[in-house]
Amino acid sequence: MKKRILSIVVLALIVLSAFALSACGKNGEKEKIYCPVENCGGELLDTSAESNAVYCDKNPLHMYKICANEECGDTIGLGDAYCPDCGASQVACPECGDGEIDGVYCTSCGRQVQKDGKMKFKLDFGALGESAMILCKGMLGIFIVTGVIIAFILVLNTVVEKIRQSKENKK
Amino acid sequence: MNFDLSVLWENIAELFRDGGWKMPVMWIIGGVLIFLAIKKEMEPTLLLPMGFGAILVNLPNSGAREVIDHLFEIGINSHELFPLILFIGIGAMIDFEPLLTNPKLMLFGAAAQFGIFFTLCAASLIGFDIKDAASIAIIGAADGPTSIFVANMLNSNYTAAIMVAAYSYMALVPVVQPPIIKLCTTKKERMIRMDYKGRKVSKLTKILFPIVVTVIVGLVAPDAVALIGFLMFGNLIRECGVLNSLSETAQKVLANLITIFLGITIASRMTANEFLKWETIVIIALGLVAFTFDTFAGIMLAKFMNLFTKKKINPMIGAAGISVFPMSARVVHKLGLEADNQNFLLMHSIGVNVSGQVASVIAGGLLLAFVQAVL
Repeated sequence: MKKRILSIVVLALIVLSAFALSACGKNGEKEKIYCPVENCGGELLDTSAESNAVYCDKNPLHMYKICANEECGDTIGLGDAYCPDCGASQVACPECGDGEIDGVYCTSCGRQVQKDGKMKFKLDFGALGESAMILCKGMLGIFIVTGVIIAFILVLNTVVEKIRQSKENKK
Repeated sequence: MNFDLSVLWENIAELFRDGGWKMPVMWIIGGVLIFLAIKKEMEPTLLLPMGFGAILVNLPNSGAREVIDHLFEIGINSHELFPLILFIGIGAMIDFEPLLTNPKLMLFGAAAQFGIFFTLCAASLIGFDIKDAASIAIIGAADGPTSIFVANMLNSNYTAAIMVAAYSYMALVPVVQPPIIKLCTTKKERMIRMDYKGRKVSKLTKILFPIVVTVIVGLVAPDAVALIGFLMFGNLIRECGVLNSLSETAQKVLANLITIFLGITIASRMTANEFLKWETIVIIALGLVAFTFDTFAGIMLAKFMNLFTKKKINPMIGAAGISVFPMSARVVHKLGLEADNQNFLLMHSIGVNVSGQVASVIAGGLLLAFVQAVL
């Protein structure tokens, strides 16, 4: 009975970790964006999340930023305030989408969207949701991985003990 | 060598220019770190080089800055080389036998990582962006190399403050943990005795353990597999039985060598302008939050398990799940003896402690994976 329960637990843990694995993979995947310079063919790589700037892996002088409008995602010049493709403002707050960036802070929601070397401490319940989700996923993930490791050790200990016993019996 | 007096005046004048006062403040901070390392013996291997490095990089027009910056570039910034190599040494030092004899203990190691994720929420709530919040939260891993690895991978703006907080709290575990443990447990609970049945673990198990753990973690959090991989590689060298001289080298020479470089390299981020900010104090406070909730969660899991088990677990052993090895295990053992002079918890708490070491690395990997996914 114990063995049956153990094998069910092991199976369940493997299935759960497979789910966790696929979830991680899906979130981690990013669409490749290629350099718009003719005959270059390099891939544009992120430099910083704040500035939205990207540079080409073949020639770092090919620097652009990605349009703030997620549906557009076109490459635009670093200094451009509006996307030439969809016309989206490149200075709108990436958090609320309404306000404009007044130096460092959004004029509408007050969120800090650029670095000025000074941190503005204020309660940001908007960001809490995202981190709370990571808390849940993180604790679930860590218990799944730990569970799989525990199951492995238990199985291994049992197998090794069985082998030892059978060797002793043969003697 | 010509001694040019004008250089001296120029450098002194530098101290009186805008923001120049910050440099002497950093000398004092460096001095405090050196004092804590020598006089109080708090993580001297790291706090001493960090303290000295803090003075070195904060001299006006310091010529050392370039060299230390270069060390940072090749040792930490490019591929987190120093923390990873240090992990080989740490892996070679750890004996997983107490964990392998009682694998259930690993659950406490997992629970005691709650402080990391709780601090992530707290840091996000007060306005840090997600990558900085995650880098601050990893102080709760109570593991220097993991903190450096994660903070650097996430390109945090506060690497130096995070390092100082992580290593300071690791050194302060005997001061920080006892009041939290006493607050969360009754004397009756602290007196619970636990039997220890010493069981021999086969060599095959000891060899397979590091390999399989690496594979499992690699499948779940591939970005951070280097962390667990290097730790487990060190452990494999130790357990394989045919590389004793390599194991000894990894434990002593390699670990010491990297520690020397790591400490002074971290100091490259301790320049006055980067370090003397209000955020540094907030980060140090958040580090305490992380350690507190790590300890709390480990204890609470043990209490929860006691609701269902016949053989009661001393809830204090859950507190050893934070990875500061072997200090937090010793703290738990000492508190057990304080409550009942025949209550020996060392073997159980050591088992939980090494599981905390593994769990903290896994937590670091998962944190990286989840945060990078939302960036």
